[in-house]
Amino acid sequence: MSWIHVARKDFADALRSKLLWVLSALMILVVAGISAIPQLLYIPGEGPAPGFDDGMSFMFTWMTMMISLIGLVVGYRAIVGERESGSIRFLLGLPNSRRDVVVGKVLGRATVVAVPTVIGFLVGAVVILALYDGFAVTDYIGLLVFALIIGLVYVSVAVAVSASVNTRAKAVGGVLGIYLIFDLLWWAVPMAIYWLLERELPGSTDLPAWYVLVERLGIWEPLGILSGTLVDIAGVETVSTADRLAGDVPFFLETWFAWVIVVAWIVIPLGIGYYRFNRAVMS
Amino acid sequence: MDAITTNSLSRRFGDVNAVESLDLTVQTGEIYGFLGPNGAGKSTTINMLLGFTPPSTGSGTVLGSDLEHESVAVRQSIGVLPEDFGVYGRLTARKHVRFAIETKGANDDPDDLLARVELADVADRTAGGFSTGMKQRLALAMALAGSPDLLILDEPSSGLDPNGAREMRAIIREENERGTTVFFSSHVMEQVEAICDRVGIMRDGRLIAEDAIDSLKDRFDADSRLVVTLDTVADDIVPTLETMNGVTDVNVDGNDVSVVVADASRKAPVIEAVGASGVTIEDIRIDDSSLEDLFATLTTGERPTSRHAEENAANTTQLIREADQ
Repeated sequence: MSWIHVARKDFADALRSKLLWVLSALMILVVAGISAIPQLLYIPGEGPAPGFDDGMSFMFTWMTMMISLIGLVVGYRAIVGERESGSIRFLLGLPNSRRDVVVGKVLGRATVVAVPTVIGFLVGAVVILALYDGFAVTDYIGLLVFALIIGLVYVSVAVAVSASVNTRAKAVGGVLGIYLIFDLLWWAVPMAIYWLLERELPGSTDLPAWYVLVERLGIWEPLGILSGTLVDIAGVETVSTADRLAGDVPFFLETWFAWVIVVAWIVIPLGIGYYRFNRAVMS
Repeated sequence: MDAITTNSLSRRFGDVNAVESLDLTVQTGEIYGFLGPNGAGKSTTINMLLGFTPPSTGSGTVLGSDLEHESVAVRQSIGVLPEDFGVYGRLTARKHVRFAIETKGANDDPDDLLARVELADVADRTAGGFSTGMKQRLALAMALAGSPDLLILDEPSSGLDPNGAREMRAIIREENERGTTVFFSSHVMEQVEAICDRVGIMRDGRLIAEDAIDSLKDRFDADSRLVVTLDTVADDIVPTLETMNGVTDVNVDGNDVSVVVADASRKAPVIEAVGASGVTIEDIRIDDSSLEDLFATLTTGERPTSRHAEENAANTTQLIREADQ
């Protein structure tokens, strides 16, 4: 149970740093600021006035990308930073198992992401209520929950890298590499496989099931699928999987299975990170 | 129950045997000084005791718990002052100590522990601005959380000025008087001589000697050196002194006659004999063998101060080999 103390200390440390407040300002800027843009750009009399959904869908992409980056930045130093500074000797000299350290760090850092997110959404609610008609409380809370899940996933990946390596530089490289390959550029992977097999580029429909599965193994893709179940905002809905496939939707492409992949993105990297951290010699 | 026992504990890093077949026993209630030059295997040993580094072979227990498989239980019952630690620069001294108390599930008052290491007035200051000495004492306060039965202190005086080192020794002695067993490592002998009940000396990954300090001195290199400065040095003084009971070596350097005696009580007869020869004694100096010399002898096999001591060093190595078998 000592992970709770690791998490609490970790959060207390972040509270003392400027990081938490910088992140809060950033989240306010994204949630309150960017969602205001459609209203600010609207010229009265030209077309219908933008509503709640317009503000939300405009902010959605920025918000999700910002939180994933924040998660990586907040997480990558979590453990390797303590190894470099030597404070890990306090953590491990006290009766903490290495699992306590990994679990505590994930929760501590996830909280460091969650607090600015909640603050951003609270301030955002005031601004959005003031600017738009049709504020949908359940969708707004759904979007917040979704944001918190994104934060947890990316923090987990970053802490897993942090647990796996012995220098901060390697952690930066690892996190950056994972982000580029499994997030930003992942769409190209099923496409490249398809091209190697078929010698032509895939269309947007009549895709084989494996193609959509590979696509869905990236970090962001399964989260994107889940956003549809957590929020119902016009402009945010995803293309239905059935429409993209050549045949019936197999179970592993049903929406619920995206949860499995999301959980796997938390558990598998952390499992590898813990395995490596547990075998690391602290000398 | 012994506080620490290890059984053929070994750790290899690649081709290097950092610690080789270590059999260590630390008895409950004692202050045990774990000595050796840098690189002798002290830190690797402590890292194995703490679960930072798993042993390659061998085993050991700390307060009855297996150091490899029950590491959390080990660390629950001991207090640790690690080597080369870094503080959490943004957290206050009190937060550090509170973290240790909470992690151990203890109910100490953080301010009490800080008072014991004389940091009470800086409890609310962040540790990032602390001097090395203050950081060492803060780490010690964390180690004291939960009233551990055993303190493992890795180079507790490293980076401290003589005054700070003295304070550290005073705190260690105080904790020992409360009934805490103390195991600490050092490469500086004077730290150890003053407070240790027993010492173990590491060299090249092996424990080459383990005993009470006085016994070690007796066993290995207990000679005292007497330097007598005379107005004139007579030719026959060397043979006269060399034949005396208890005298092991005589050297003449200008007007200084340097006499090595195996036993400090032989110094007075030597002075009497010199005086009886009719010359005037201008000065007398005495160099008792210190633990520093003993340490140098044991860990480097060299002691440049006298020919005799070098022989003794060779004998010492011999003795140690015999003791090992």
